[in-house]
Amino acid sequence: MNNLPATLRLTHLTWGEIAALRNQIKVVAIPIGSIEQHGPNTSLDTDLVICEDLTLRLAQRFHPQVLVAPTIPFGMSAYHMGFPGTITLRTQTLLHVLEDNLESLIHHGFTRFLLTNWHSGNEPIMTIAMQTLPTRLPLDFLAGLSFYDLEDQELEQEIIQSETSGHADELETAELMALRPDRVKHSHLAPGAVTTDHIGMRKRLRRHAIRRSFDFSDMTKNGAVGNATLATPHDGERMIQAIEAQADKLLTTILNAPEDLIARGRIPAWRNPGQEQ
Amino acid sequence: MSDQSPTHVLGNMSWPEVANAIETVELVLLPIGSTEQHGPNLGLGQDHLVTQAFCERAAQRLTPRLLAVPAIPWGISDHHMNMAGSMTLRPETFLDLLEDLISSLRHHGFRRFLIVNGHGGNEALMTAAVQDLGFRLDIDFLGSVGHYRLSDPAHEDAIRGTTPTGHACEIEVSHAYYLVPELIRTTELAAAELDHVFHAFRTTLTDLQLTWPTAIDALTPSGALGDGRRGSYKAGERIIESAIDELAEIIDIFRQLPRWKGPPQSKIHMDH
Repeated sequence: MNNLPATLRLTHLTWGEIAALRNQIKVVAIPIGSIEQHGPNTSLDTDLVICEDLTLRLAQRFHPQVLVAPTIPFGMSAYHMGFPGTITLRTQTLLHVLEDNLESLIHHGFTRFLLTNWHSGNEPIMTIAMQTLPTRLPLDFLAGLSFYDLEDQELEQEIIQSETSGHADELETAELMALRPDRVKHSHLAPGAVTTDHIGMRKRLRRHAIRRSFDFSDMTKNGAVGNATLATPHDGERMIQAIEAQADKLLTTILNAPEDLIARGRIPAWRNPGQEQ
Repeated sequence: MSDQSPTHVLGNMSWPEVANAIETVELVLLPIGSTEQHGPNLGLGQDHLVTQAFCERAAQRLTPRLLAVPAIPWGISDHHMNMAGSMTLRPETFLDLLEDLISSLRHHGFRRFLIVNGHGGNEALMTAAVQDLGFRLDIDFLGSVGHYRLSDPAHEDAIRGTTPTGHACEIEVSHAYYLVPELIRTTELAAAELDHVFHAFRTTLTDLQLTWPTAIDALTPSGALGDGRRGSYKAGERIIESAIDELAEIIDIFRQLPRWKGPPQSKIHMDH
């Protein structure tokens, strides 16, 4: 097909184009977003647009092997509900949305999927989906990538100046400046109004991977943790480059993976006996 | 109160004993685990039976501050379904179970809960439950922890062999020696033989930060990791008791967290 867009984005293709591309597409990427507060610094769809853009750019670099499915806009953001505008889905809802999306795409002949993410609150549901949906669905490969896991540690140490960081901070705001400057509230950037009382305790709980119910508003009065006033587009671009270099290595490994190892690793399809390998 | 007192284990108590305990119990322990294959080394109930015994032991040591309820016997074990006997819940079922147990106990006046886990495959689900139920149910505190993440690592390192551990291994055999010895198949204990080609392939992907849950038998045909022969009662005692020591300190940290006594009366508003 001559006039195919350089990024295969399902919502922007015709059904005829999807049908014609089926054999060239090796992996379908499904971006998962969130609609949650990012302090006064950036828009509620920050996680959504970063995840979507990084996924679309990845698909562009591997054209035409990666098809990008519609972004799931909402995620698990219950602990941000103390701030207006945040929307959160129950775990079961997210699981079923993922299952229905996968089932639809499988019906059209796709069998390898990569869930992409930019919101740590979504990690549990992604893992639950990858652990359990292969038992119900005739797919060959289902894996997940949270792009922030590919951030370069040295560069991160250089960019982050705040003692406590991690949400709408100097790094995340810089990354958004590089990708979608229109989402940054440039004249309202403010450091996180963090309550420092429990930092030592939080570290100890984290060491044992202990989770507990909490509200983000217990930790920060304005919703940010870190200092967005230090963000620069240049730092953002450097980090996005570092992430994308690693993402390319990962996708190359996936695309070249031996069929038999992928098949052996597959969670058994025991709930669909007819489809069991 | 003597060590034999049943007033820290809900299944052993009468309803008036439970009614009296509501005043003193700071935290209800909800044990979760699995019913899944543990190689030739251990019975299938290992994860939930060890965790139940762990919670009962912790509740006994910290009487009357903790209450241990019966374990949910099954977990997320789809990756073990190629081996006979393994049973698994759909995540929806598991989340509903947790919600129903917590709601029942909340009805009786308990307001703080800690999910105590004995199976790595449950970690994502229990984290999701804490994120979601902790916010949606009318309770003051919901937390989660794997008992195997609380122990002093030095006690585990002291018996660990060269094969990667983590399932039906020397650590888990030691847990069983101390808490549920009837699960151990002493004459069957053996070192695992890993599939090194698959292990290397999987490690390449996970080193690049990919999450890819896989069938356990692709990695270890026997279903076990590590070397069960290296486990012992003494090691189990040290590992488990050090984990309960840490749990006691963690509960003291919980007590200082802002939500321990429930959400603030007035909502916090943004300044701008």
